[in-house]
Amino acid sequence: MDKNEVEKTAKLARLNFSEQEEIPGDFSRQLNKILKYIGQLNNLDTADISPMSQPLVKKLKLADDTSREFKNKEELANNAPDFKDGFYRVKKIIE
Amino acid sequence: MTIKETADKISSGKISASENLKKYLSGIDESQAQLNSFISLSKERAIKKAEEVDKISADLPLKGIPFAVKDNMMLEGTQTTCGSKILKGYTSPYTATAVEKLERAGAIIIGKTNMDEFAMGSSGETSAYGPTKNPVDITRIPGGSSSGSAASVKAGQVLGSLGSDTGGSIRQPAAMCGVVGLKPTYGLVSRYGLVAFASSLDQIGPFAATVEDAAIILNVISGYDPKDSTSLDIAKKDYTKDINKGVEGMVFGVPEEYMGEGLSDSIRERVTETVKELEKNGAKIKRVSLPHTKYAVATYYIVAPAEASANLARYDGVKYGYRSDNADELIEEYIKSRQEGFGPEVKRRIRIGTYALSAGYYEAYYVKAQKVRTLIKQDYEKAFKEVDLIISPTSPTTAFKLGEKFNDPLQMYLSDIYTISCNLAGVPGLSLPAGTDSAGLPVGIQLTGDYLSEEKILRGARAIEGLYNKS
Repeated sequence: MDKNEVEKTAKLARLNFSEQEEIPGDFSRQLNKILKYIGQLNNLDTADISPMSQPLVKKLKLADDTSREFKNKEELANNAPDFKDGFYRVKKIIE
Repeated sequence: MTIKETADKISSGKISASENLKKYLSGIDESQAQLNSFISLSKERAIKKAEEVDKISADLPLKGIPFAVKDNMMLEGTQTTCGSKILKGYTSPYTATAVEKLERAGAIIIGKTNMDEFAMGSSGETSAYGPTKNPVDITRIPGGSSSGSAASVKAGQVLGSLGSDTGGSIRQPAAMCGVVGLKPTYGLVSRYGLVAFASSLDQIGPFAATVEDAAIILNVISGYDPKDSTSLDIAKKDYTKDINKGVEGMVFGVPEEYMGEGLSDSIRERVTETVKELEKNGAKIKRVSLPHTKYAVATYYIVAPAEASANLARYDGVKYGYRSDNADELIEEYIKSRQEGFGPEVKRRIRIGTYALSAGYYEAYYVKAQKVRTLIKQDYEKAFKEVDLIISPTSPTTAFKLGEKFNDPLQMYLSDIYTISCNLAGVPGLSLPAGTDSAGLPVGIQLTGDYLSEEKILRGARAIEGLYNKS
C-alpha cells in the first residue's frame, strides 16, 4: 500500500490517516507486512473454485413479513449523543 | 464446584440462590482488582434476580448459577461497550436471545466481561478498559478475545460464562486459562443481541470448568430464533445425554499440518500422549490431512476485516456512542469520532478490510479469499468422511507474557493458526485442558467435528477430561 492508497482507503473508511504514531511509519510498515503475508494466497490456483460467502449448512427459514414494534425507544434516544423532538441532531450540512 | 452440583443443591433447597450468590460476590472486588476480568458488574441487579429465582419452585438447569457474559452481548439496562471507548456508557436497550435464555434457565448474571476491542485480538490487551490477567499467572495473557469470560471461570468468580468466537476467541482463551470453551456450529446459537464483528464467522458459545457444564449451557442457549436470520431451524437436542458413552469405536483424526513447525514441544507431547490414551480406551486413530491449513490465517485476515469494515461503519457518532467535540462539520465529525473512539487494532483491521473491498482490489483479495475458504471447507468435508473428530492442539503456545506480542500484530494473528479454519468452514470446535507444560501453564486440546456434531465432540471431550482427572 503506497501513500496514495493509504490516503484513499482512509477516505473510504472515514478514518484519518495522518494521525500521530508512537513510532513514525510503524503503522504502514505493519500494514504492509500483513498485506504481504496475505499475498501468499496468490500461490494457490483457484480458477475452478467457487467463492464461499457464508457457512450455513441448511436452508434458512424466511421470517414472516411483518413489522414488530420496538418497545424501548426511550433508551435509544438516551444512547444518542444529541437527540431532540424525535430526531438525531448533527452538524449543519446545508448553508 | 460445578454448575451441575450447584444447580442440584439450589434445586433441592440445600442452599438458596441468594445465599450462593453472596458467597460469589463477597470476594469479587478483590479478584476483580487483580484480574480486571469484568468491564462492569451489576451486583444489585444480580441480588434481585437471585431473590426472584428463589421464589421459583421448579427445577431449572442453571438455577442460581453465577454467570458472566462477554461485553459484546446485550443485557437490557446494563452497559455494553465491546471493550471500546466508542461505546463507553452505551446502555443495552434490549437483551440478547442467548442471554435471555440463560436468565430464563435460572442463571444469575453478575457482570459483563472484559474483551479485546470489538473482539479483535488474541490476548485481551486491545481492550480500552485495560488488559485482563491470566488467573494462573497474572504476568501472562489470558488469551482473547473473550479474555474476561475465560479468566472469570478459571478464577471461580462465576461457574459459567458466554463468549463469542470469530477466529478462536472462545477456544484460544479457554486453552490459555485451562477451562473448557466451545464454539458451536454456525447458526446453532442465536446471535440476536451480539454486536456484529464478522457476520459470516461470529458464533456465541459457553465457557465452563467441565465438559458436562459446557453441555448444560449449550442445552440452554442453542435453538432456533426467528430474530436471527442466520439461526438454524432444527430440533433441540440434549447434549448431556450421551456424554459419558466413552470413545470406544470412535475414529479420531490427527492432522499432520497441526503438529509441525511452530508448535511448542510440550504441547505436541500432551497431544501425542492424549492420542495414545484414547487408543488404549478403544478409539481408532487415523492420520488426516487438512492441506490448506497454512492459508487459513491469510484467508481470515481478508474475510474478517472486510466484514468488520462494513459492520463497524455504523459507529459514526450519530445514533449512539462516542462523538468527537473537535469537529466543525459533519464529515469531520464522523472521521474524528471514529479516529478518537476506535483503538489502533480496530482501525488497522478497518483499513485492511476497506482496502480488500475497494475497487481494483476486490477480486484480488476478497474474492480470492472466499475461494480459498471453499478449499478449507472441502478439506474438512474430506476428513470427516474418514473420521468422527479431529484432535489437535488449540494454540501453538501456552499463555505468553503480557506485552510480548503486542507490538507485532502478525505474530499475534498467528497464535490463532489452529482455531481459524473452524470459523471459515463453520464447523464446531471445543478446547479443553489437557495438563500443563513444564512451566505449569495450561495446555489446550482442540476437538473439531463435522457440522452439528456437538454431541460427538462433547462425548470425546468428556473422555479426554476423564483421562486427565484420573492422574
